[in-house]
Amino acid sequence: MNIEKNVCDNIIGTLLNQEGKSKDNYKARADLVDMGIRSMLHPQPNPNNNTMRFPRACYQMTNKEKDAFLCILKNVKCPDECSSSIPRCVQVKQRKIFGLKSCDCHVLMQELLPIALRGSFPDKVASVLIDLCNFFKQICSKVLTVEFLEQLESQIAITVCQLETIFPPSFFTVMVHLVIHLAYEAKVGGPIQYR
Amino acid sequence: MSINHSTWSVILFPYDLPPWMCMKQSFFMLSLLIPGPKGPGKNVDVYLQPLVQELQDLWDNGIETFHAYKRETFQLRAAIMWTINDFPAYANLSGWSTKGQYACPCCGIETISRWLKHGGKFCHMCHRRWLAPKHKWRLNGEDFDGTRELRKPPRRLHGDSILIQIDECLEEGLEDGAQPWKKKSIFFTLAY
Repeated sequence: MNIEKNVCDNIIGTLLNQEGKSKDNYKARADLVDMGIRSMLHPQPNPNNNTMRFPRACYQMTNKEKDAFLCILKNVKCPDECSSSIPRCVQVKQRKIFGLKSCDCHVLMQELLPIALRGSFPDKVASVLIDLCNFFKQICSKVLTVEFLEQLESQIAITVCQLETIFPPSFFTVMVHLVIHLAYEAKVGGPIQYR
Repeated sequence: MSINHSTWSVILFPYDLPPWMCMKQSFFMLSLLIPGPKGPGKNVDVYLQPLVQELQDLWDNGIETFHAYKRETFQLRAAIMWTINDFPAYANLSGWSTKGQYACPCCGIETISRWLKHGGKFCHMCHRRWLAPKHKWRLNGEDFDGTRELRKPPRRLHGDSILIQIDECLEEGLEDGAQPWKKKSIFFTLAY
C-alpha cells in the first residue's frame, strides 16, 4: 500500500509536471545528457537568449490535455464508502492534484487512472501505465494462485522495463523498484488484505 | 503541520482468527508503547527485548490455555510471522539500511543502483535483469540506460546465508567499503 502510494505520487506528479513533485526537472534532463541517452529530451539552447529550452516529453501533457484529464477526475462520482472524495483533491484551475491520502491513491491507481489516461496520452505511454495499474489491481485480488503470480512476476518485469524507456532515471526511486518484488512477496505471504 | 513528538507502538495480531476478524480493533494486542519525544531509531531493539523474551518463551515452553469448545486445556505456542511497517521503519527493525546505494532489502548486496550527479541521488534502473536471459531488450542500451544488461536477477537468500552475510558484513563491510547492515536485529535471536 505504501509502495502503491509512492508510485502513484511519482506518476501523478510527473504526468502533471507539478512543481516540486515532478521527477522530470532540469536536473533530471541534465542527468540524461550525462548518461548519453534519449537525445530527443536533452536541453536545447534557446536561440533568442541565454536560457535553455526543454523539449516536451511524451509523458507530459499539454494544457488542453491536462484539463481533459483533470475534468474526468473532477467529475467522478463514486458510490458511498467506495473512496473518499477524490474530486476534492483535484484543482482544475491550477491544474494540480494534491492532498491525496494513501487510500485515495489506491482507488486512483486501481480504478480511475486507467480510464482517465486514455484520452490524454499516446498509446505507448497509456498502455504501459494501464498495465502497471492492472498489476496493482490483480495483486490486490482476494484469490491468488501460484501460477498466476508467476505469470504476474514475469509480466511486471516487462512493464517496469517499458517504464524505463519512457520516464527519466530520477523517476526510479527505491519505491518504484520494489514493485518488482511484490509478486514474489505475495507468493510467500498470501493475499494482501489478509496480511 | 509540524510534529515534534513521536510515540511508537508495537501491536500484535493473532493470525489464527478468520481474516474478517483478525484486523479488528477488539483483537489488537498492544504490547509496547515506546515513549517519545523522539522515535527510537535503530535502537528499537532495546525496547523490543522484553517482547522478544516472551516470544521466545512462548515458542519454547508455550503456555497452558483453556480451550472453551473442547472443554480442556492445551499448550498454546506462538511464533512471529512477519512485521508490518513502513519503509524507514524497515531499516530500524531489520538492520538493513533502506537508504542510499543498497536501498533494496530484497536484492540485498546485489542491489544495483546508479548515482545521478545532477539529481544528487541514487536511481534503481536495473529491471532488465528480471527479463529472460536472451531477451532482445537486454542488448538495447539506447532506449534504456545506455548500457547492456547481462546480469541475472539477484539470488534469494535464506536464513542461514543471511546470518553468515551479516556476520561477515558487520566485521569487514562490503568490498567497496559500504556497510548496508547496520546491526544484527534482535529478531535473529529467536529460535526460528
